[in-house]
Amino acid sequence: MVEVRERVQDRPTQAAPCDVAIEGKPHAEPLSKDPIALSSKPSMFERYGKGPEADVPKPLEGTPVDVPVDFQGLEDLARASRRALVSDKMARIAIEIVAGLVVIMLAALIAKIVIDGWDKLLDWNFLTGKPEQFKEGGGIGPELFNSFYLLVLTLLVSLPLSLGGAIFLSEYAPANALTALAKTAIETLSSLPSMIVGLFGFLFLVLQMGWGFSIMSGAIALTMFNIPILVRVISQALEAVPQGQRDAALALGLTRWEATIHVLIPAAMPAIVTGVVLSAGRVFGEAAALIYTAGQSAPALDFTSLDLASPACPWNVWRPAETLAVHIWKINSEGVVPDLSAISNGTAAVLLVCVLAFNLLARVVGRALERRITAS
Amino acid sequence: MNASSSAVLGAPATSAPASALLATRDLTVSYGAKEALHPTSLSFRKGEVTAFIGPSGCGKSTLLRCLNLMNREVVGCTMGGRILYRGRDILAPDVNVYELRTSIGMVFQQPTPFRLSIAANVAFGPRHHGLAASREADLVERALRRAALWDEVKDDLKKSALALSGGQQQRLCIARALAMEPEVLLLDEPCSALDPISTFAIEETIRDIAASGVCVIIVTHNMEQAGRVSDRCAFFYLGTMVESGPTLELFNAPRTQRLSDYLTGRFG
Ligand SMILES: Nc1ncnc2c1ncn2[C@@H]1O[C@H](COP(=O)(O)OP(=O)(O)O)[C@@H](O)[C@H]1O
Ligand SMILES: [Mg+2]
Repeated sequence: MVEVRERVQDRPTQAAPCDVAIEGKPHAEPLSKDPIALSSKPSMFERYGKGPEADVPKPLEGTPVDVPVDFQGLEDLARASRRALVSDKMARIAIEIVAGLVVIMLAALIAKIVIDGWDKLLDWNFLTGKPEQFKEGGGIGPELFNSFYLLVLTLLVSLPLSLGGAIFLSEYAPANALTALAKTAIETLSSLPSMIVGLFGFLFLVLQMGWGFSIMSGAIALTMFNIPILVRVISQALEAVPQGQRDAALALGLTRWEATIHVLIPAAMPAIVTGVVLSAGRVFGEAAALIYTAGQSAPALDFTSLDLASPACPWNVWRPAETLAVHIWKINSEGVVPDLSAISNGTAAVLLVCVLAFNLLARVVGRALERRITAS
Repeated sequence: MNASSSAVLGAPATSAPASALLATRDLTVSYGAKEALHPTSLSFRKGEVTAFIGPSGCGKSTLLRCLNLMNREVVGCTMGGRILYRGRDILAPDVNVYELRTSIGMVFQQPTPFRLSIAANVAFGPRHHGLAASREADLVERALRRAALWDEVKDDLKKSALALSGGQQQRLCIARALAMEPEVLLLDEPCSALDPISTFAIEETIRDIAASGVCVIIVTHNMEQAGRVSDRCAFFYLGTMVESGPTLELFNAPRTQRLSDYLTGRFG
C-alpha cells in the first residue's frame, strides 16, 4: 500500500503503467487494461475512476494521497472489536460477581462474629474482669491487656530491626548471590507456618534459654514471625520509590544515608504504614506461635503494682501471658466453664473489633503523618 | 555555599583556560568493560548555555552525569581522564562529592519533586546544608522567581508539590537546584516529558539563568531546542564527541559529514 502511494507521488504525467506495483508485488507481465482484474480489492485506479494511462492529478506536496481502502480489513477489524466489546463485558460481569461474593462472605462473617458476641462486647465486666476457671461470668481483662502489650513489645523490637534490614537490602546490598540468598531466605521465612515458629520458641526460648512461658518468650517468637514479613513489605515499599527521587536527593549533595532518611523513607511512608498495620493485625490475632511460648494462663493483673518481679505486675515480661487468640483456642479445646460459647464468641468479637480499630487508627495516623510530611 | 566550596575546590586555575569554569580533559567513561564515552575534551564557561546533541544512546547523559560525579553512584561505572572545576581535578579521590554537588546542580529528564510542599521542595537543599529558617522564605521566593514559577504558586507554597502540572514540577525542580545557588546547572533532556508551552517556558528560564552568570549545560535530542537555547553545542555519535563549537556555526556550517547528516535528519 505504502509503495503505491509513493509511486503516485513521484509519477510523471505520462508514466508507464507497468511501473505501478500493487500490493507490493512487482508485475511479471504488463499490466492488463482492466486493473481491477488484478485483485479483488478496489484499486487506486477504481478510486480515481480512470484507467492507468489517465492523468492522475498530482497531489499537493506534503498532503497524503488517499490510500485505497481495504474494506475486508476494516470489516475484520469491526468484527474483532465487537468481539472484544462482548468479551470485555462478560469479563466485567464475572469479576463483579466474584468480587460481590467475596464481599458478601466477608461481611457475613464479620456480622456473624459481631452479632454473636454483641452482648459481651458491650459488657464492661467482661472486658475488664478476670477469667473464671469453673463458673460462669468470667472476663478477659488480662487477655486484652496481654494482647496489646505483646503487640507493642513485638513492634518495638521488630520494627527497627526490619527497617534496618530492609534499608540495607534495598539500598546498600550489592547485587550478588549472597543478597539473593538472603532475599530468598526472607521470602521463605515470611510464609513459615507460625506453629513452627512457636515450637522453635518453645524449644529454644522457653527450655534452652530457660525463659519459661513468658511475655519475653512470646514477644521474641512473634518478632521472629514478624521480621521477615516486615522486611519484605518495607523493602518493597522502598524499591517502589522511583529512582529519580534517589538521584534528585544525591544531586542536591545528600549522602546515600541522608537520601534514605530524608527522601526515600518519607516517600515510602504510606506503604510502610500499611505494611506495618497489616503485619500488626496478624501478630495481634496470632495464636499458634504463642501457645507454647507466652503460655496459656493469665494471672490476674494489678495495675497499681510496679514491682517488675511480681506476676501480678502488668509490665513484668517474665510472667506467663495468655492473649485473646490463645484464650479462644484454649476455652474451646479444654474449657469447662458453663458459658463457654458465650465467652468464646465475645472474645472473638473483641479481637475482631480491636484489629478493626487498630487498622482504622493506623490509617488515620498514616494519613496525618503524610499530610505533615507533605505540608511543612 | 559557594564561599565554602571555593575553600575546598577553588585552587588557583592552572591547567584549564582561564575563562573555563568547568572542563573535561580526555574524559572517558566505561560501564564494566564497555567504553561508553571515548576521550572527550570540552570547556564550559559561566553565563553560557552548552547543549549536548546526538542520537539516543550516544553518551550525552553519560558525560553529563560525570560533571557532578553522579556516575560515582552507578555500579560498574568508571571514569578516566580529568574533569577540571575551578582548575581542580574533581576525579581526584580526595574531592568531597557531596560538597561538589552543592555548587553543580542537576535537573533530570522526568520531574522529581519530593513528597513535600512546594516551599519545602525548594528549601530542601539549603535546609539540609544548614540554612537558617529565618532566611528560608526569601530564598524560596528568589529561587521560584528565577525559575519563573513564583507567580503561579505564590499562594500555594504550603501545598503538595505533587499537585503541580508536569511543566510546573520541572520548573520546581529547576528552582530546587537554583536554591543552592549553583555555579553550574546540568539539565538532562528537561523538556522531553513536557508539552510545547511548558517547554517554551523552561527554555526562557534557561536563558535567564545563564544570563545571571550560571554555567548551563543541557542535553537535548531536539535540534530546534538546541538552536533556541544554546550558545555552544557539542555533537556526539556512538560515544565520540564528533564536533563542538558555537551553535550557529555548527548548524550553519557543519564540518563533519555525520553532523551534516544528523542536522538534515538522515539519522537519529
Ligand atoms: N547504567 C548503565 N549501565 C550500563 N550501560 C549504560 C548505563 N547507562 C548508559 N549505558 C550505556 O551507555 C551508552 C550511552 O548512554 P547514555 O549516556 O544514556 O546515552 P544518551 O543520553 O546519549 O541517550 C548507551 O549505550 C547505554 O546503553
Ligand atoms: Mg540520555
